[in-house]
Amino acid sequence: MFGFLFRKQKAVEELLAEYLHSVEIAQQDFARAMETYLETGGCCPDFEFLTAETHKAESRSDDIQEKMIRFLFEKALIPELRGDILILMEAVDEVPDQFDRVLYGILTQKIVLQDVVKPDLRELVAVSMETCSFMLEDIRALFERSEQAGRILTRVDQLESHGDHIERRLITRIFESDWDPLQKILLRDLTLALGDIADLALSVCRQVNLITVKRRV
Amino acid sequence: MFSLLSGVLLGWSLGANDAANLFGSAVCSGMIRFWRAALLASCFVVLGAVLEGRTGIQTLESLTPLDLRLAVLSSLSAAVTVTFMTLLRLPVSTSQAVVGSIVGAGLLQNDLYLGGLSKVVLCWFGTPLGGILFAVALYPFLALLYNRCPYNLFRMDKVVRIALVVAGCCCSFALGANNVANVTAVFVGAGQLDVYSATLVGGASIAFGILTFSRGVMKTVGRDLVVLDPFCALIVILAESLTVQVYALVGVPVSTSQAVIGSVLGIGILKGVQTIQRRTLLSILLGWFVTPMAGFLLFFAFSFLSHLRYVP
Repeated sequence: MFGFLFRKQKAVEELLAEYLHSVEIAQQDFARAMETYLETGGCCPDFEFLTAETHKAESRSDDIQEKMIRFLFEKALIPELRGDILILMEAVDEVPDQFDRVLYGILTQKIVLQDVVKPDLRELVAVSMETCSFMLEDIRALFERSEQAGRILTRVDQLESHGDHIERRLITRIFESDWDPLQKILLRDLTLALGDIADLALSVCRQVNLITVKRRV
Repeated sequence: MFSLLSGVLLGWSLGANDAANLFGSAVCSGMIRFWRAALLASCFVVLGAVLEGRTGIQTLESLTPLDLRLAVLSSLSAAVTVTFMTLLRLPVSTSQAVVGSIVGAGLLQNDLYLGGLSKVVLCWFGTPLGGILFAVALYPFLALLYNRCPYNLFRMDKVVRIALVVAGCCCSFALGANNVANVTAVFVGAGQLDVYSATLVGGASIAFGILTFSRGVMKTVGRDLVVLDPFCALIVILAESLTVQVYALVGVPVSTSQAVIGSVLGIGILKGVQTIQRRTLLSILLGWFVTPMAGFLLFFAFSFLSHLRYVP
């Protein structure tokens, strides 16, 4: 009876699921690319392929986001949910963008890894990937109105602090070494860029928490 | 039939002004298109007027006996009051303007039913109070249901949107039932219309106002209601609808705007925040005196003018 009210809403719902899936694919490709990079210590065809794959997934999520924004501006959903989704997507979009930036940074600057930093970098990547997985779980929980929504924030916050700790340790180690100064700066930038992933995931979770609190009547 | 024009004008302006209180938030937020909202509101207004408008008509008709000339004059002075105050951007209640001019007619004839009048005035004061009480009662109950509902966010969005449209329809029904008396009660008193025709003509003229001139007002007033979150907007419309419906059953036409303000105030009381500015409340208090007084004075002015004869 009320079908005429919800044509656009159904489309937004499907696009959101598609968007989150696309971000997840970008995350998986990024993790595999970083794994390859950490194993080889430099760029290789596999790494280049996975970088291109991550970029494709990131572009796909951008396209879906644009479609969703168009639907939302055509006034699908009630204004509050519309606003929440727009703000949330803007925050989430920073994460695949950061994957792209990190991988292209490695590829274009030909950053070569020293064995001594690999364990810390691997740990930092693992922490960042865990925060991203929690971020996606948190968003899904928000839309499912699950009790989990908002509770994940504490865990992500802890992970992000742990990531900061690894980041500081790694930068100290880099600058204590006698490597070429340019190499040091490039590795520092890479470390900071990897650390930013957890920061971005945390800010998304904070946004989710805010929406959860706001929607409790 | 020509004498009914002033009533139709009054109904038209009532429909144009009050539609915002029915579907303003839903239309402004894009939940429903204007034309769909206007059509739904018009249908339910006519339905409410025809099915439940009788009691209000009997109340206003009983205030004072009217002949056709007095009926036209009181209806005209109420219409001019409403239009003039709207132009001055002062809060106006059609019910208060109509009763003010009927009181003028009653005083002119020295025949005013004070018992009926005190019931009407008491209900005016009770309108925002009703809004407050219904909002305070509905909010915790519906919030519990809302929070316990197992649906996902999109489905909840759907539920709230459907509820807003249904509440808008209920409110339209209540508006028709309650306010039709403002439009045509004086013509029933004058013997120009029977009660059934009066509800039909009154309902149709309110619907005509909604269909032809409510878009702008709906967008302006609705924007203020959209500031509330959708759940609160739903509570406000439901509380308004119940308040106006109760007074329709009591048989006293009241202002939907004042019911809305009461409901918003109720939400504010529950949440511990100031939802209505003191200035708005003062303007309602002022309106309680200024609007009936303006209707009353205009009736005398028109009555005086109607007695003037051209002497060459």
